[in-house]
Amino acid sequence: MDHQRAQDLLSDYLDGELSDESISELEQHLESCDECQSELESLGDTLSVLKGLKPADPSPDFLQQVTKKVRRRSKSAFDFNFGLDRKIPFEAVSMILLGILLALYLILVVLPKEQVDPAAPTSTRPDAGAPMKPVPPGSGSQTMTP
Amino acid sequence: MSSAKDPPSASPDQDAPSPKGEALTDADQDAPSPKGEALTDAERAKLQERRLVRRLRRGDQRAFATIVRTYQQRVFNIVFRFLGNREEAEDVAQDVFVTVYQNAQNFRGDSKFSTWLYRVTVNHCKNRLKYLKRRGRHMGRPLDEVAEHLMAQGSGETQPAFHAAIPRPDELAQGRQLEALILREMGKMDEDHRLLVVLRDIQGMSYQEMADVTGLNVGTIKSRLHRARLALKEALARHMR
Ligand SMILES: [Zn+2]
Repeated sequence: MDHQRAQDLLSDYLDGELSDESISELEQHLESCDECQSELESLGDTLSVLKGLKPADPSPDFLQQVTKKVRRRSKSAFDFNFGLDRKIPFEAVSMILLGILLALYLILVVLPKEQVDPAAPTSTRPDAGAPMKPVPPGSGSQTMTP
Repeated sequence: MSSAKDPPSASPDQDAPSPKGEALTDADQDAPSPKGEALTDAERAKLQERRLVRRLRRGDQRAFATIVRTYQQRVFNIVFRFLGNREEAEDVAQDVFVTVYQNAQNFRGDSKFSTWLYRVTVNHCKNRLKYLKRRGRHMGRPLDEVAEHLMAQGSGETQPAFHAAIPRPDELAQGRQLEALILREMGKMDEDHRLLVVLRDIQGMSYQEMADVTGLNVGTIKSRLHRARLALKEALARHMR
């Protein structure tokens, strides 16, 4: 095995990725080549430093942080909290509120007017008829010309 | 695999990986295994993972919590070694699990769950790096910060990091210096090379799994990794002289 080929195979050798045949050829070269020998050693040292790095730990409240993010980011909290503290999605709440407001508007504003209008002169309800009454002509002009 | 049914001797809803090895062997006659042999630890872990993932896809929070607890360190370590900055790493690792929760439906089980998880991790890492670069943070800088910090810890307060005139007998400190040196060198490395070093040499992933995670073929991975290792080795050698 020539020197360059040996150099290229050093990583595979350390990884145990070479065939038996390549291993013995490489080892034969290593015996006669100091450069490859020392290259192999320092490459091995590098790998053991990397392997020896202590695994870095995430913060102790990692899971809580993740859970918080999931809640914040899921558009409807519905699926995430299913079964525990079940939340109603915002969309549903707003649709229901909108419906209630529409119903109130119809009942309190639109319907009374329609019912009351034709019977306006005889209405006994003062507040229903009041806005329809024309403003007395005298009251406004008096203040304009003192 | 045989069936996903839990043999009577194993508790069906076990959340944490069981340290006991004998749980499944009693039920062996009842639960037909392909070779008629006891399940190995790896096979049992695989079954458990499948059950967990199935529960996750139904939106089961407890299964999700178990998955986070099981993988948080591995995911965080990959992200941290890749980005070199603890704060960023924490944020990105959290995002990885949020993505896993929200996209559990897309995991079909064609690959190992961990492979899918690491693919998500790698994507998040690369995207964050792109984002940080766009905001003007140089690639090597975050890693340099870590290295600087480690160097300060390892070399004492007043000693310059690699002032070898007075050799310290403290081996831990020397180890720290080597570590700092390597981390600094990794910060200078092209991100694709750094990723391979992290996955293989720090995380201990197999070449096949690396190929599944990165989408590169094994030959490409090996030759890139060899080049990356040589660069690290050179940096070590320069400072050992
Ligand atoms: Zn040689």
